[in-house]
Amino acid sequence: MKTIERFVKRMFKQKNPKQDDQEAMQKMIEMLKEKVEDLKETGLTEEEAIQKTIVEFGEIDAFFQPAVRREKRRYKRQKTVRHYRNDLVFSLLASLLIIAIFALINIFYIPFESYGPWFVIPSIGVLFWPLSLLYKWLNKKGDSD
Amino acid sequence: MQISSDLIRGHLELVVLKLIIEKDHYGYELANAVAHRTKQAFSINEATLYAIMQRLEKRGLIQSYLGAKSHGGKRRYYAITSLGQAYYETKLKEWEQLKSIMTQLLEGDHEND
Repeated sequence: MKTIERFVKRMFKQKNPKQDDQEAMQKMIEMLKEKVEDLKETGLTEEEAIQKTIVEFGEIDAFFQPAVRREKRRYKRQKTVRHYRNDLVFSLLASLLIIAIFALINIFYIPFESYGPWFVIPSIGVLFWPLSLLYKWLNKKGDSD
Repeated sequence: MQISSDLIRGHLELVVLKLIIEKDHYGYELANAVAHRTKQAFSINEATLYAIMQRLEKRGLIQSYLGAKSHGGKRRYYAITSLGQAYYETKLKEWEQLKSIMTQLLEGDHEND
């Protein structure tokens, strides 16, 4: 019979760790024990009866309404394809600006002749930013198509 | 044929109330009665049954008491309250109505209406 108690307690803990509803839990234990007793009367051993009870129990989700979790999810901002596109445009403009600054420094302050066009190197690094956003945008577009 | 539980779910409350009105039952007895009466065409598992009982009890439609000791231990029996009786009658009317509407909609040939 301890098995039944453990089964119910674990289930309650899993589904509803915050709310400690002792009364509801006791009632469920009671009900399942009644079933075990009845099954024993039909000729099953205690172990078989407990096994059968647990197997036949079914899904408990009907009892616990995961209302709290669902509420939270609703308030989370959903990014649409448009958001991703805006992100991409922003990153493109910003990286062009950064590259332009590097290029200007390269041209006016550190001459090409002695150091070569070094601004290309940081530019490549910066371009990974719009590249990753392009990837995300295309992914999102693929999802919604 | 197994009946999908979605279809019957909304009416299970009514079924449980009906059984309890006939005679005080304890939990597993109810599950058994459902299976027995439908000749195993429909069975209700403990999780669902338990959820229904909790709901009905919270709303004061049924009440529970510990019965006399029998066999292994005490059993918790459920009995109907007057509120439950009234609720059952309203719901039963609703069901009759639904039944006749569904019959009208799904049965017979209405092509020339």
